[in-house]
Amino acid sequence: MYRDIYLKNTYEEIVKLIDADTRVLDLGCGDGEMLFMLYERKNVYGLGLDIDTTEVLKCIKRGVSVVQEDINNGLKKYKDNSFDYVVMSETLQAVKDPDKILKKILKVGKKAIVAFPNFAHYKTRLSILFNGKMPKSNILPFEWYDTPNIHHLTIRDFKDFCKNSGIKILSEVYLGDNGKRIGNTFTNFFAEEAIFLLQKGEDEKKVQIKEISLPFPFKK
Amino acid sequence: MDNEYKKGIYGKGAKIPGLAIARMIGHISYLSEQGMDKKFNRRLEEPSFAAKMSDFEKQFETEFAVEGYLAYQGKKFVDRFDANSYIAITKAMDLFDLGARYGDEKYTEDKSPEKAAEKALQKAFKRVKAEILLVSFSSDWLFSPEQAFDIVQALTINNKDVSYIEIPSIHGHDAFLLEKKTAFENVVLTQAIKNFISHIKV
Repeated sequence: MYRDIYLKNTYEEIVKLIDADTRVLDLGCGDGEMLFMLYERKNVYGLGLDIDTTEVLKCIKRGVSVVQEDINNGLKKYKDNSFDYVVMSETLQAVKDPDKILKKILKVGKKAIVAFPNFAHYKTRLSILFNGKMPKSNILPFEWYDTPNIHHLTIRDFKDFCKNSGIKILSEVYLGDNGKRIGNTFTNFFAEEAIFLLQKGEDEKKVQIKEISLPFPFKK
Repeated sequence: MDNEYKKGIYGKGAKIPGLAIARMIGHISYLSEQGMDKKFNRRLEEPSFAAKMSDFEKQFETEFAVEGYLAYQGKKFVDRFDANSYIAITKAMDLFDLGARYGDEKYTEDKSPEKAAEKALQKAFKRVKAEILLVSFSSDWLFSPEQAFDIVQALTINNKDVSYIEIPSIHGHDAFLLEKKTAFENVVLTQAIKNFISHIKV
């Protein structure tokens, strides 16, 4: 049940980040709860993607538009800038090539929203330190052998990745213990869940023109 | 060569093996390689079945079980279907082009035919008012998942309510005809339709 509270609060924060009357693509949409919230509150056109048949059927029952598809195939048919937002909630750490997918969603969406559990949360750290076992928590209740999360990451990892890939972080939201919102200090220690609003960096957007380097005698 | 064809005017009582052969070839496209392998493999036709075959079926090779099965399908079809109506329906299906009919996109020189067809399909689906549920079977190569996906894309570009579900199956196009109610294909298909209909706002 704790996991439900975390998910609910995460969805609430994501919904707040999304402008009304936009087009939203939700990768790994699960039972479509977040899209349903968006339909009701923000009047968006929302499409969900999920690989799991049971989850897809739940979306259909809710009236949430859903496409059964494996994100790991690379979203090849999705055109650049065809959505205002591409959301990945609790999905990034479960995909095969998170780096490629991140870059792709920043093309398909004008903006992207990524939410993931922070593996450097103090409880996770203490659990490894004192138990010597793969940490389990409210938000990560899985055993090591059956977890869907194959690429755990921390807030610092993610920020480094964004910096190195020229991805702009427009907004960041953190949830601490009990799924409550916390401030932006010592987040890598205290935040159990991190939510980022992202955009492709300026240099990525521009068409890069390479400078022609002239041989030595002609150099300016 | 179908000697009975006579420009499509089949006489009464004609044997029409041409139509049967067409059906036998067509029938293969309703199945899948994996499904046929599982059902027939290299099994030979059992003598008890071979003995029961009609003269019509015996016109075909029936040494292997798969041959006997296809001959039976050919006969069944010829018995209940008029050859000329089959020709007409096939032609009508071939001539139907949703994009060209409702999309009205000119195939200009600067665009690739694929791009033009894609644009035409998008334009055609602008008029859709209903909510849509698309279902395909993974091994169906008559109505392939890829084609269904093109439809999904053309609809989502137009902000239409569309859901798509791909049911894993080895039974090809005929997966929707499985008789066993508890077959995975039937369970998912039934549930998908039930869920889809239950939410529609009237």
